Amino acid sequence: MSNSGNAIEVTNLVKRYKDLLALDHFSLTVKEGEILGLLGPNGSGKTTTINCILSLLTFDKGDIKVFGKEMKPDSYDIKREIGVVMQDVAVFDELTVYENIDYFCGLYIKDKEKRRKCVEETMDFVDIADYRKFMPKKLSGGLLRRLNIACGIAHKPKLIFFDEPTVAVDPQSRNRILEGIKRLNEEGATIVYTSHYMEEVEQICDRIVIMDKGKSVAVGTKDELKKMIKNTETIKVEVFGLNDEQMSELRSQPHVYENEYNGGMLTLRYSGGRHNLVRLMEFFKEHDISFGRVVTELPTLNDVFLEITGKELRD
Amino acid sequence: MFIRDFLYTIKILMRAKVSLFWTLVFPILLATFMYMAFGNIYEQDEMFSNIKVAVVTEDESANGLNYMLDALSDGDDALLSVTRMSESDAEKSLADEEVEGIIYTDDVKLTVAESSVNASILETVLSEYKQYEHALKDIYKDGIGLQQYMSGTSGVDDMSNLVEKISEQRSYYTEKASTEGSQNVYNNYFYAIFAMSCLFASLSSIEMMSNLQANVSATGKRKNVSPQRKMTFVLAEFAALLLIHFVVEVISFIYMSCIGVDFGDRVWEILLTLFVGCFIGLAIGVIVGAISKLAEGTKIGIVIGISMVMSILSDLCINGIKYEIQQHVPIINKLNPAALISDSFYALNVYSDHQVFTENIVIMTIEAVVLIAVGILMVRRNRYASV
Repeated sequence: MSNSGNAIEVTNLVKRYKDLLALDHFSLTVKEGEILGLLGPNGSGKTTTINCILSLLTFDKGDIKVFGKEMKPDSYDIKREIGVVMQDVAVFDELTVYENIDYFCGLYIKDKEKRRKCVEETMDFVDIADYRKFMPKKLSGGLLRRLNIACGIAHKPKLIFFDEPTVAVDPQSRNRILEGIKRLNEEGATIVYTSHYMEEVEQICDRIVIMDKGKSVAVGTKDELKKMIKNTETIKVEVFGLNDEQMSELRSQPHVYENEYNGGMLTLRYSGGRHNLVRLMEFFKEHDISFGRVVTELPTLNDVFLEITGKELRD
Repeated sequence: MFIRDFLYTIKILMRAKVSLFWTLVFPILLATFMYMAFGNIYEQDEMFSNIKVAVVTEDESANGLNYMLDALSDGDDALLSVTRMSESDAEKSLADEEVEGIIYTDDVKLTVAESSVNASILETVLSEYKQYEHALKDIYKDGIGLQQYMSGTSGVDDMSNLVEKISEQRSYYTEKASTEGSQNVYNNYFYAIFAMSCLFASLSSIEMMSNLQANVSATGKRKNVSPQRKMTFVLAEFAALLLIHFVVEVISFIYMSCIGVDFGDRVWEILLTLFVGCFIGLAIGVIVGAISKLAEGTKIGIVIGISMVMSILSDLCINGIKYEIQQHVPIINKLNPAALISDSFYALNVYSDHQVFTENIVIMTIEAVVLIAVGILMVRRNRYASV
């Protein structure tokens, strides 16, 4: 839709809440057709970013373009192409499942027959058709979230914002929601997905923006992000009776940049290397050290966040 | 879009049973309590029952007072209910509270059991008679001859003719009622109930405006990100609220009429008053609801306060406040929607022309349109400081 191929362009966005700097010269580009993940702890500025893009919030500085046009409260032609799935469930308690979806879809689609088709398809898509006559209060948390999603996507928008759609959702419903988002993307929708669950973001996003304190601290695919940090592998082993000399030897093994031994658990962090575990097993054999459970972990986005910001993603 | 939103809002309002119940029940309950509180006064003022009196007469044919008592006990709206009996029976009836007084016609004397309004009326009747009697005697002395009259042999017919002529009251002006409606002062309370009920519709429009604002409600966020103008939402949902509240007011009106409150017979004008009353009530909610920086609870507190003050100033609690305002600061009555609503009812019931009524309706309509327009301007194309 835009000449640049970008669905969203945010440049140097600054947003203050009195003394709190919620967005600090934040910039963002979302390419058409991708799933972009905004990852960060609570209060990092993810929802504020979305609300600014949607023209719900005033901001102090910066430019926002959606599909190449400046986004304003009366940009109705742009809004027609946008769908939003709120963090909070936004439905009417007095309307049935069908009526809720029809009402919100009707804000975008005038034609009654076209709207009916969209509503039916969306109910099938989020698998809620069996509950069409139910009032929202009668739905479980998972079903309610699915209804919330249906209300945001029924008009088949080209750009969809999902603002933490899986909060307080059971694992089964969460997987269903994530699969649905992938399918929407496969059908052509550009998606902006915010979450503080790194697993979700890793699972579905093409590109990830890691946010902290209103700033973008890292941008890239998950592999690109992981390459930004020193850690490539972490090995944890249950082992007893390691002495200081052995610990020192382990520290001097190739690619090991950090080791620690606490409560019978040895943790070794590697920077590169392909056969780290084999080398470690050989070491145990040479020194006749018996060991129990062995766990090897590849770096996660939490490691990326930890290394960049010095704190855990879920702190 | 307008019609869809209107219909869905009607559906939502009809299904919000608790809110609908209280919207409907509130004015009815208030009217019922008011009617129970004023019922006795209302009926006493409206319905006068005649005074039962025992008359003790030795000589019926020779006493002019008997003519007067017969005249006063004649007809459907008679002042007295006269029973002639012996002195002993009369005393017994008075003791048994079957009568409220005994009139002795021979010596024009009254005996009552205790002081009361009715005893005062009986006393006034006898005083009047005595005055007439003295006047007649003076006149008769000069004309027919006191001797003949006192002997009772002649002059009785002349006397009765004279009584009739003197009793005849001539009016030199024509009484022309400006209306056939009720001018009962207690009706003002019921007018004020309607005024308050209409103003309390503002609570609904506050909720409507909350559901339209992204910083107050989640549904407001959805509406704000949609490609629809806020004005469309405001007007469609306002129209739905107006319809529902108007129907509620009509039901209250029918109920109050059924329990005996006399609103007169200008039904269409009364319906118009209720409609415009709801219109201005909802408009107040729109303007207060449009203030995005206030919490919803604060807005509700504000409109309840506004509605109560306006209603009190229009005689809801104490009859006469509106009159005092009219005497000293009439502009308040001209701007206060509650006063305008109750005054419209009053004007319909009391005045034969539509001047005051029309003036009130026009003022309320202008006020409502201005409030809605400003409310829409406040929310349209709005971005919020925090969501």
